[in-house]
Amino acid sequence: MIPLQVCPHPDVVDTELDGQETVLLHLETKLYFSLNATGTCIWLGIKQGLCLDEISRNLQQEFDVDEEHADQAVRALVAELLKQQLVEPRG
Amino acid sequence: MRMVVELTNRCNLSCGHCFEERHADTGNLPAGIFEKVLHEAHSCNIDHFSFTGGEPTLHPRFPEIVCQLSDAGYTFSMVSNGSTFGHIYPLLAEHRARFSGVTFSLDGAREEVHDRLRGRGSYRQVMRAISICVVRNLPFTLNMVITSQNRSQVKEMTELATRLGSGGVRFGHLMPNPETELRCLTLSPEQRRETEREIWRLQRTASVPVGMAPGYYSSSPFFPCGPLELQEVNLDYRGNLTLCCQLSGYGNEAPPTDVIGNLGQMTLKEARLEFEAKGQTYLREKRSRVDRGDLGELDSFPCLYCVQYLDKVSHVKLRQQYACTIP
Repeated sequence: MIPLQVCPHPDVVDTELDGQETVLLHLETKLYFSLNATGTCIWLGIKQGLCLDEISRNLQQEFDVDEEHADQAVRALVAELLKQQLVEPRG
Repeated sequence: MRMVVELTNRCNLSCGHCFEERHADTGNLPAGIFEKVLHEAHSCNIDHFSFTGGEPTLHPRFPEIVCQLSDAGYTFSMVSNGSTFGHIYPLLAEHRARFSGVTFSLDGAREEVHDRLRGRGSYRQVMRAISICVVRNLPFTLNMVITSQNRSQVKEMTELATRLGSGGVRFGHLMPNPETELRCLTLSPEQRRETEREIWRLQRTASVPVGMAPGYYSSSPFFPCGPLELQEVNLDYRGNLTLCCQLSGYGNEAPPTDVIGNLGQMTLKEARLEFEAKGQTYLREKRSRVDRGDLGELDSFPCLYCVQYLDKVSHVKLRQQYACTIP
């Protein structure tokens, strides 16, 4: 079950490049994780404290994608970020 | 041969071990002198420039300098605290063919150790810079100045370098100064040797290159030294050719005893000839001291020998600084 809201793990350092790509580095595991433009948009929403539905709506506007695909993309990425301990449940 | 160029003594950090002149924010290398050097360096067998500071990327004409150097056919590298890397990496990527790498200063394997010395947030700045290097395929290495606060992390630092994808890690002894004395950062001679032994062990076993900057203990009075072997020259931000980058700006003697000459008033070739002559004098005088048996404990650490030889810090004061006990 994916939580409604997540936040960046405190041990993660994020670096945006050229506005189209973000690289995450976990300071404990030393793993790098690269996000493309879609992933960057989702990550920014997470940093802003938005819930997953709000992030999905942003994605739909930004990339002209329908609700179903946007929801899937958000949930898939958040699941992976949770698995890699790059985010944690908020609150 | 390479030229180490101190582009500026501006720095946006104020690290606990750094001596005053290195971050006094009093000047930038004049563009005219650098252009002159670029024009003359090939004929002096200089083919590589290594930028230091202060924080070299803070030179107001840093992009222009990189472009000029690249156009003139030289290669370059630099040392950086990583704080500006988010802005300058496109420039380095553009000149990738000429750029051999960046060395990030990282004074602790863990955030709290590094930040205690360099300021809160600076560890993460370095990590951000490293992240950029990894995804943009820019070569990087790490450099740690050994202090009482981080000397126990030499092995951890090497492991960190390996896991981050660094091209290597280099350790260097700090140059004692009033600030390091106040904070008891300086290691005793025995502590220096103990740390060096661990570094040499790691050099044999680590999966990344591990090395030490010149200044480590040498049983031979005629130690490996880039400047003395004419492999390296140093240019400070005033345009002075000096004996070496380690001693540049160090100490409070006036006039500075390690300055060969200013490239605003002499050619690089003239300065280099003068540099070679001074190097020969140095070696001759040292041989004489060796023959007289006139070397002390601190003289086995090359940079400390030179500090005393050049009278940059009094012998008594240097011994007092090394007498500081570490809690």
